[in-house]
Amino acid sequence: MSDKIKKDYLEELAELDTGKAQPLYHPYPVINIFREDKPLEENAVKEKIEEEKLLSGMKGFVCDTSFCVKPQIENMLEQEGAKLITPEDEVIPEDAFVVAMDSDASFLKYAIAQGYASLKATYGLVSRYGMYIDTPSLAQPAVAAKNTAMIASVLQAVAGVDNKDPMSRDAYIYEYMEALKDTDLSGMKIAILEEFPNMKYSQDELGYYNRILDAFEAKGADIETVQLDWIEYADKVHEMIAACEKVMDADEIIMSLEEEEEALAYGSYLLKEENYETYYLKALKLRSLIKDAYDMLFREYALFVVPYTSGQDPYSVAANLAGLPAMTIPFEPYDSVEEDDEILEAGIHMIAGTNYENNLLKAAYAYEQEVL
Amino acid sequence: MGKVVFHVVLPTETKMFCGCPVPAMDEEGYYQPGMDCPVCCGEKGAYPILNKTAVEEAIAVVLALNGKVTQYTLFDRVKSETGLYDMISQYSYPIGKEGYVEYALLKEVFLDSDEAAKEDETDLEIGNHSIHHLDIPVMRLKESEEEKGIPVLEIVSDPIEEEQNPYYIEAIETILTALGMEAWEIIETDDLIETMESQKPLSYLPDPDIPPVIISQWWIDQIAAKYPELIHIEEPEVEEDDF
Repeated sequence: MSDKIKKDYLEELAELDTGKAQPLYHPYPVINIFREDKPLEENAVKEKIEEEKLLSGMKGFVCDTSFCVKPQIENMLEQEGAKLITPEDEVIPEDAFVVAMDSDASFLKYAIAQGYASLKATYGLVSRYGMYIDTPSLAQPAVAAKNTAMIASVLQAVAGVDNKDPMSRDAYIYEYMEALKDTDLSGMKIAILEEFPNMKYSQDELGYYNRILDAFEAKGADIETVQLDWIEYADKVHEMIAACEKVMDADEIIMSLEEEEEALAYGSYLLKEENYETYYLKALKLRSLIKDAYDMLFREYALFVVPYTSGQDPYSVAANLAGLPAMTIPFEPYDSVEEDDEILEAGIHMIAGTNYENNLLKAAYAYEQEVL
Repeated sequence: MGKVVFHVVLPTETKMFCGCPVPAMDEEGYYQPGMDCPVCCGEKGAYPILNKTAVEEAIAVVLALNGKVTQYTLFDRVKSETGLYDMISQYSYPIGKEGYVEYALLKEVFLDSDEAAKEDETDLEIGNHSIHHLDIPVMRLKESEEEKGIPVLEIVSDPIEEEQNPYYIEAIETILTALGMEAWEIIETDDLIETMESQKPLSYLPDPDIPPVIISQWWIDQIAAKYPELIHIEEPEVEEDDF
C-alpha cells in the first residue's frame, strides 16, 4: 500500500474517538437465520392473486447476474409478466427498466447519465440470490426506469423475503403504487444540509437543486436544515469496507483492472493482523455511528435530500453503509434533452428510513409531475 | 507438551450451508463424490444458510464437555496463508469455550505393572483437562472437492502432557459416542504446531452473508432436553488392562 493519501486519512480515521460504538458487521440486526436439516425447497415465489400481471407488457434487463444461478429477481419479474431482454451493445430501449446491484452508488450514477430515475431498495428487502456481488454487506438491488410508476411496479414485484438469501427480511411491504396517487406532500418533513463541506457543486447544479426544494415546499413539504454527524467520513469508510470484502470474495486474485488491483492490495493491507483493529474495526465502528446518525434523523424526517453529481461524494455511499433506501432523479427533464445537447449528469439524491421506499416514490412522483 | 485436536463430523443429513446431502464416507474415511450445488461450490450469487441441526449438535457437544456456550457468535470468512484451507469458520467467536473432561489417571509408578494396578486402585487420580475452544470450521478445501460444506466441529485442547493423550482421547471419544458421534480424525501435535484451523489465517472477517447466531438459555435448555445422555454421561471406565 503505497498510496500516501490513503495512509493520511487512515491515520485521521484511526484517531477519531468512536466512544462505545460497536463494529457494525451487518447492516441490519438479522439473527438466527437457519434452515432445517433437509433439502431446501424451492421458493414459493410471492403469490399474486391478481390475474392482471403487475408488469405485463414491460421490458426489463437484469444486470450482474451469476453464470450458475438464475436470479430470484428474474423469476419474480417473469412471473409478473415482464419480458426480459438482452440489450445489444448495452443500448437499453427507452421504455425498459433495468435491475442491478448497487454497492457504491455507481449504478445510480449510470442511471442519471442515461436520464433514468433509479431507486435502491432497503438492504434485505429484495433477494440478492443469483446476483453477482463482491461487497456483500454494501450491495442493494436497485431499479432504474424512465418514470417513477415503472420503478414502483418493479419494486412491488421483486420485494419480499427469500429463503435462499439469509439476509432478506420478512418486512412489511407497502403498496408502492398508492404513493403515486397524488402529488400532495403535506406534512412530509424533509431534511437538508446547510452546506456541503469539501463538495464543489456548480451554480447550475445548485440552481436545479434549489428549484426542486422549492417545488417540494410548494407541495406542502416542510424543509428543515439539519446537522448530520459523521457523514463526512462515509466515502472513506465505504472504500475501506468495500476493499476488505473484495479481498475475501476474490477466489483467485485476478488482477484485470488497475483499480481492482489497488482495491485488493488496499483490502489486504487493512486486514493484516496489525491493522485489523486500528483500521478495519475502526471503519466498522464509524459505519455504526453513521447508521445511528441516520436512524436518529429518520425518527423525525421522512427524507434527506442532497444534490448528486457524477463525482465521488460521501452522501451517495452513506446509504449503502447504512443499508437505507435511496433514490436519484436527474435534474434534466427526461424527454426534453435534444440529441445534440449535453446532458447534465446530475440530479437529486434522496435517502429515506428503513423500508420507507414509499416516501421516496411519493416525493419523486410529485417532482416528476410538477417540475418535469 | 502438545495439543490434541479432534475433528468431528456432525451427524446431519445435509451440509452445513446448503440442502445437498452429506456424501457417503468409505471405509478409509474418505468422502465419495456427492452433489454439488452453487452454495457448496462457493459460486457467486448463492448464499450460505446455516443448518440448524448442526448448530444444535455443536452446542450439545459443548454442554457435554462442560463448556460455556458462546451466546453471541459469528461465522468468519477465513483465507488461510497456504491458500488450501479457505473456509467459513468461527475464528473469532467459537461456539464454545473453556470445557473440560475428567479422566482417571494412574500414577506413573503403576503404569508398567498390571499387577500393581489391580492391587492398589485407590491410587487412581482424576486427571482434569481443559478444552481450549470448540469451533465449527466448515472446510472448503481446495484440494479435496468432496469435503466442502461438511459440518466439522473442532475440539482443541490446551497444551497437554504427551503421556496423558490416550486418556484424554478416550474420555472425549466416550462422550462423543454417547452423543452418537465419532471422531473423524484426531491430530496429536507433538509441539504446539498449529493445526488447520488454529493456524493464523492470512485474513478473515465476519461473513457478511451469515447473520449472527444468538443462543439463548432457553434454546440451550431445549437442546439439553433433546440429549438426555448429556446429564448422565458415564465416566470412562478405567480398565486395568489399559494400563
